[in-house]
Amino acid sequence: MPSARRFDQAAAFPELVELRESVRAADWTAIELFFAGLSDTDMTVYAVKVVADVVGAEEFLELLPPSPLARRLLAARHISKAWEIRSGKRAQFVSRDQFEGMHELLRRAEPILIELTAEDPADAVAWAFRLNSARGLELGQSEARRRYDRLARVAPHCFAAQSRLLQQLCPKWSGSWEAAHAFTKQCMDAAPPGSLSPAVVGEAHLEHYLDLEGAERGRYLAKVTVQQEIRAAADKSVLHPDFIGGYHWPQAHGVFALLFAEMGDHRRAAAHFEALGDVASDYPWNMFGDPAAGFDRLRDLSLGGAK
Amino acid sequence: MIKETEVCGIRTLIAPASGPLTAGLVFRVGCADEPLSRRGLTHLVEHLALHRHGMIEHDANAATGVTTTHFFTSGGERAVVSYLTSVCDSLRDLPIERVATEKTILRTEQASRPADSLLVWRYGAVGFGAAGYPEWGLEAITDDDVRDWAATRFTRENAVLWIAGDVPEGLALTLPSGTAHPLPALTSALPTTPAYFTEGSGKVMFSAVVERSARAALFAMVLERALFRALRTEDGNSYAVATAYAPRDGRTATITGLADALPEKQDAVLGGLIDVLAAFRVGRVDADELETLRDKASTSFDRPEALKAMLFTEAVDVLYGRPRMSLADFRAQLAAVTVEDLREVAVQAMDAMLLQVPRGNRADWAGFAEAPMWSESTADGQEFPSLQNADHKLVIGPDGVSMVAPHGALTVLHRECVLMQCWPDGARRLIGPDGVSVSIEPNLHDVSPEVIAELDRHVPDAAKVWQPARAADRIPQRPVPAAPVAAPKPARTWPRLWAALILGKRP
Repeated sequence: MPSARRFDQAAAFPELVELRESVRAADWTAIELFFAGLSDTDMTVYAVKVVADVVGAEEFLELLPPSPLARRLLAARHISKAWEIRSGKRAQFVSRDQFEGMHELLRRAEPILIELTAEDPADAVAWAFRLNSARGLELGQSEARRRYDRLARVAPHCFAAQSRLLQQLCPKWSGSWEAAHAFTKQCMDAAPPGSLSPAVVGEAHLEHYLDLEGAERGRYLAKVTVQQEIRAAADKSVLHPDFIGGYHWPQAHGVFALLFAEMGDHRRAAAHFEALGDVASDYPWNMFGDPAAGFDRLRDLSLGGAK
Repeated sequence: MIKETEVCGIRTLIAPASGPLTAGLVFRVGCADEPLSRRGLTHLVEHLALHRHGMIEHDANAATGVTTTHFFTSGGERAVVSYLTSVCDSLRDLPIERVATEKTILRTEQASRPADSLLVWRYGAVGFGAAGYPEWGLEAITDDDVRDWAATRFTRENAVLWIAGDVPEGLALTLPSGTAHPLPALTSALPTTPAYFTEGSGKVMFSAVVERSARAALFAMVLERALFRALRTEDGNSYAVATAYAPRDGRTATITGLADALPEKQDAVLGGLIDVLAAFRVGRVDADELETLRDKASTSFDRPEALKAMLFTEAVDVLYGRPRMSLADFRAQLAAVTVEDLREVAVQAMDAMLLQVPRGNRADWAGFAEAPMWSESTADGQEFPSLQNADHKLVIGPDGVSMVAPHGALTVLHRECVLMQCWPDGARRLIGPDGVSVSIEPNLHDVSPEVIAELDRHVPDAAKVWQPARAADRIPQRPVPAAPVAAPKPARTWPRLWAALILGKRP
């Protein structure tokens, strides 16, 4: 029986559920306390996104004294709202009004983030969200790369940022597959074993795979080099004995579960589905029209229909 | 150290100096004083004034600027006296027979000078904005214009002489008497700042108007260093990075900046530049760099050439009516500049900034308003659809002309028109005081000679500049419906205007 908690980005982490409740209750002290206890960049970016996805949170955040945290959260909320307006559809299905609404909100987020990174160039969280605003505002490949490079000076293996830049590097956002794969391979090579970074190699292959059609798509995951890279990425990240975990693990395991299931490597897919249990992140399952059905089908296939 | 006195009825600044005698004569007239339809007049007078002196053996030259014209020289007493005397004698009695020849020389000289779009977008096509245009008035300048300009602008009351050394023996300069001319009125083509416009490619440029002060001058230097470090050393996206500080009048200065970029790196250069400016605005300034550049600025005053530069600047200030400041005071101001001072100047600079971004880029996301692309009104009159582009039409009426495109209209009213270039084949180009221009190519809009003749009657004669006939292959031909011809290439490209014709919007 599918859990109601599935695809809820906070569900696997009780403290994030609590954080979200604090936002809904406008309990600033609890929010500040939560972030004060968080030092990992990836986990902070993730938690900021949880706050940002609370519909209506801007009304509370706008009234706060403008501390860096309050401004970070407000800018992130504008960005989430911008994407709520845009919807996740491909550009040709997004109306002009939707784009204008999205840009209007991103133009509110960006000056807040410009100021945060001006005050503190080591604010990796603000830089990570500047990757989202750059993409939505279509500021271009080289500007997105510059923002990532600024972030990488202080947080060289930030998975959340790498995953965001990867989106920008894909052809759907005016990039190229060469650039996308080259970037993710660099991320993996440079990353310490057991970090999240190598998982972006999996994301790049997944994006590439989803972009293909027909026979070409069928052949993509059958390529030996592609399979080798995906296996190496899983081994160096989520399957590594020193895997650091963090809030992104459902996303990383999900990407590998999906990839191995689609390539027919059920044994490997099963390992990731077992790690996931009933936890599923929005990405990558939102590629299916019905994410829950897609998740169930592949999981049952991989675990031999045992569940 | 610098003393104010009077020589031959001319206000004079003099300071003792070692080395050869150096002197300059500065007039309060420059290209910002010219109507656009006489653009080039001051430069032409400057050239004519130098002609009789002939081949100059010693170090001497002249420069026409935005608000001043400067004749300067260095050498033995006799050479200096001879040069300055010759300049003044010539200004009283210019070699008018040279006008045609000098115009040709000026056309060649200006071909190598870029026009300044930042001036045009900030001020329009009048005053300081006119200085941003090429010398488009040359064809219309008459002998009387030249005589009149020399007699009214190159006068004792409108001049200051500066001398580094002693007053040379036998110096007897005669200039006509006239009146001191105030600076041209400040105009604005920008409803709000910070603002941006898109033009060209391969570089990001900006201008900002700030207070005139030691701290503002130092800010420009520290900013250049910070831009160089971020855009070139760290990001590796720019090669040339530069800023400049220049007094605009007695009270304010203009800071300009440029960063070049490969086409594929333009986005990142724009983003990097905005981030550097943002860092200054929040006061994140490297205190070490402030010290380094403060030292550089202070020691530059100890160089021998600094005295001449200072005498020139002070001479200009006398013409601007600004109280002069002693070097000691300026040094003291420089020594007192803090990081907080630079932050305050950065706030001023950002508030008044005009940014030129490459085509395809925007800057609204960083809080810059888009500079107006369109006129507020459309002229009433006869409509002439474009034969090239179904979306565009030309309107020619009794009060003005408009180029109408789907997103807006560009309008020049006849009574406001500051320049109408006229070609014998019937082509016209009208420019309004806000810098809006409308081009009329009769073959591309099916405009009859009668309509052009009617237009000519409405536009004031003073604004008209007749151009030489264009070569046949330069005249756009009526498009053949089956195979439309490419958009015409003008002899001299002025981007804002030709985009109006081709794209229907100001770049």
